[in-house]
Amino acid sequence: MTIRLQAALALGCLLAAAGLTQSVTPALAEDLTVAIKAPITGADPHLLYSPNRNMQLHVYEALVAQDNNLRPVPDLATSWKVINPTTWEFQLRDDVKFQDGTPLTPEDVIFSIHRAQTIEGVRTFHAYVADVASVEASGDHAVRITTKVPSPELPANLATIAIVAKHAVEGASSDDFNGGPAAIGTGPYRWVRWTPGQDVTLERSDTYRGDPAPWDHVKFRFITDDSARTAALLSGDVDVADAIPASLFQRVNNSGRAKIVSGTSVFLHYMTIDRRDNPPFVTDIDGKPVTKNPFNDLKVRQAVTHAINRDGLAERIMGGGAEPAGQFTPDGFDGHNPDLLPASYDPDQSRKLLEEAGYPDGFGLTIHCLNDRFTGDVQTCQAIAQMLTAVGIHTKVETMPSSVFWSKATGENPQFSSYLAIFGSAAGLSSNALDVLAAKWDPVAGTGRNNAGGYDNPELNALIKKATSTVDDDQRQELLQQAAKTAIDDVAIVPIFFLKGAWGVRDGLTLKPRGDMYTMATNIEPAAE
Amino acid sequence: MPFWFIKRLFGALLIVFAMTIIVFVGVSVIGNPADILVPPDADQVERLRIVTALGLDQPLWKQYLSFIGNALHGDLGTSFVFGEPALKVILQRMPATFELAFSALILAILFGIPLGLYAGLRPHGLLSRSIMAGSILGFSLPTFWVGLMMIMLFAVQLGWLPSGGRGETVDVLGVRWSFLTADGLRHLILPALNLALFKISLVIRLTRAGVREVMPQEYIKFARAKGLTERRIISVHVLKNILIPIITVIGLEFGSLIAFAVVTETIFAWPGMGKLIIDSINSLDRPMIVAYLVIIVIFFTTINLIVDFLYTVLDPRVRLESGG
Repeated sequence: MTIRLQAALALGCLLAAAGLTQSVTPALAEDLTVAIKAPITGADPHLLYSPNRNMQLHVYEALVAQDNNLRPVPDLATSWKVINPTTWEFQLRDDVKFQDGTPLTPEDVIFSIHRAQTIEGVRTFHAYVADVASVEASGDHAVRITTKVPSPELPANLATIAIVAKHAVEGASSDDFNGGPAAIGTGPYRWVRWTPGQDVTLERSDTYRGDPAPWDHVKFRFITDDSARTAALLSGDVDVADAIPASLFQRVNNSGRAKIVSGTSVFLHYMTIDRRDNPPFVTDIDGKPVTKNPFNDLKVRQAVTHAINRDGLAERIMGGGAEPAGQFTPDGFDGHNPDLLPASYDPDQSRKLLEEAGYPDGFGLTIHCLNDRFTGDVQTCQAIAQMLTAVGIHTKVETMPSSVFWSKATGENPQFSSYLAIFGSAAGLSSNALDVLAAKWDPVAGTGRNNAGGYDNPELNALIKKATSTVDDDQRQELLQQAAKTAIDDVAIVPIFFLKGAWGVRDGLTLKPRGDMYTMATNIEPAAE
Repeated sequence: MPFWFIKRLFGALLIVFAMTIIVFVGVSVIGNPADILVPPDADQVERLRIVTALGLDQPLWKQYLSFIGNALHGDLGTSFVFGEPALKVILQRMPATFELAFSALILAILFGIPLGLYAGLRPHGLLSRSIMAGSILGFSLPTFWVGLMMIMLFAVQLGWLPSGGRGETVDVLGVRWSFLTADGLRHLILPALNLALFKISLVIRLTRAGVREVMPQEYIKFARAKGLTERRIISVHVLKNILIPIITVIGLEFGSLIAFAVVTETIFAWPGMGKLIIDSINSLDRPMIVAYLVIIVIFFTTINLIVDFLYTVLDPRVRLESGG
């Protein structure tokens, strides 16, 4: 942390001291170079790792694509309809060609979904297609998918499954995907080469059915250090740099060479609340274990949520790199309830609520936070602790890296009382957030994985279940909004803020942010004159 | 084969063995790799599948025994994160780190010895004092800060050199090297200099101290009395005598250049293996940690052997001892 901070300071000082007169050599208009923070770990599109998927989305398409708010939109499938609650039919486009010139057939779709379901590996897309019982062709340009249970979120889940060419991928090795014979998609770019730890090079595909991509070549360079990535942008070595920390926003904006573009993401920073009878890190005011868990009183939970100054955190601590949150998904995303606003910052109200609940002197609490998740994570944690202490909940802070944190935070017997972490659903589904964070812990049904506080609200559980089995889209959205309201009104978790994605973009280019913070070359274009 | 060689080999094996046990126990104490690897939106069923797939549901001693069994067949395990053999992942990145470390080493010798020699021969000159003051800076400034300043100056302000990355590479014997292309060399300058700065300072100070110690010795006076040229005195009599400690230190430092180039590699986005170990520890990628450390132990052992060999070349007394 200190290194990061010092480095940022050093960079800042030097930039400020030296007059910025150097002119940038404009990169060739046809090539795009992007600096990204996270190096990728593989090329096989059916092995899951978020940064890998960012690259693969340029090359491989799915039946369904995600718009910038991660909502499902037609892609390889022009439309889909529900025949009965467990049977879906997807109409495929008839003008799709793989990059070797062969047309897309239902066989390729069947093969791809089957491969995603059965591929061996540590991180896979199994969970996204767990509901799929069978896939079969129903015509030259249609597939019929049968699910084990009614699965209304099938289209959103299928958006994560890359469609590959059966003839090229059957029996292929992992190296074949790295620019080899298996690296054949239907997308706007071809995969040329991935050099581990260094970069990924893509090339415009000539067989793409849509408007040709604006760039001849796109190179994604991995530059993990924040200051170095920013310096690469300012020196003109790269056209776009992702994940710029808020402390460097001004430097980029004042450089005269680039501007910051930011957009709210689906990544929610939240705080959990312990509802178990013997909370390990809740004490009375003298530091002794409590006999009764204060958090089981709704007023105490409301006191917590009103004690937190979300605007202050988002603007000051995060330097504008976050947006205050009052629920599970941001505006414009799946399941967002427009009536749920971020809780007001009202410390007097919090003190009053604590007094009414029988804690006029407050009590003690230790919160656990990550120190390697995002820039500003530790500072946010400390600020929240101070805000809670200010209303009477005397809060201590413990921070640790992910490797230590998660095994203690979750599981059969969670060891923390309140922890702060980030949640984001790759499929952009709010039901996913509800299921993981607020539904009852149930390892067999697979719900409540991060619900470490033992929260169990039968009304909410039923609502989530109903929502995830309701096929009608409008009705489902309504149920999800209702579920969000039920959870938030009961303070199942304390939403803090949504992280914003921030990109430094060279002058002369435009970038459209995406809700999962992916950097898409297809969203970067030369600015109109 | 001499006895000491076998002894060394045995010692290295013992270290590897002890190290693997420490890593296995250590990682299991820190946390469960499955908790890091599981995607945030996955459920407990998926987590359980990962635990089973990685064999983490087995008791630790069983996991260790199966690791030893595979290791004896040359298989150090499959990386949890990359899904590829750990050794392959490391070897892919090794040329980049080697290239960087060798360049830094050459810079350290090229700058360090002449400058140190000069400072030792004219200890009170202004230039000598500046060299020594500079070496203190080289010692004390943190690598990452110097690296960033270099980027800001040479890449952002002056625009002379690229800000990072490895640049163009050429394939030689199936391995990609960047020092053989002009573009690659341009990319290499800053990181190599950054990594070398500390070593240059070290070599300067060692050389100077050695020269100061050797110059008043009887045999130098004798060589002068014989009427040898100053040039011959310095290049043969002085240099040869001060090289032993320098070679020892350079040898050891070379090992650490390779093993811990991580700061420079991170700042300059150099695709070497230094960063790999840090990432692997953060993600509890046990096979990677073990394989990496095994390689490093082998490195250090080999370097020590080479250093010992160089002693015998440089110092006839060592040769006599081992001979007699």
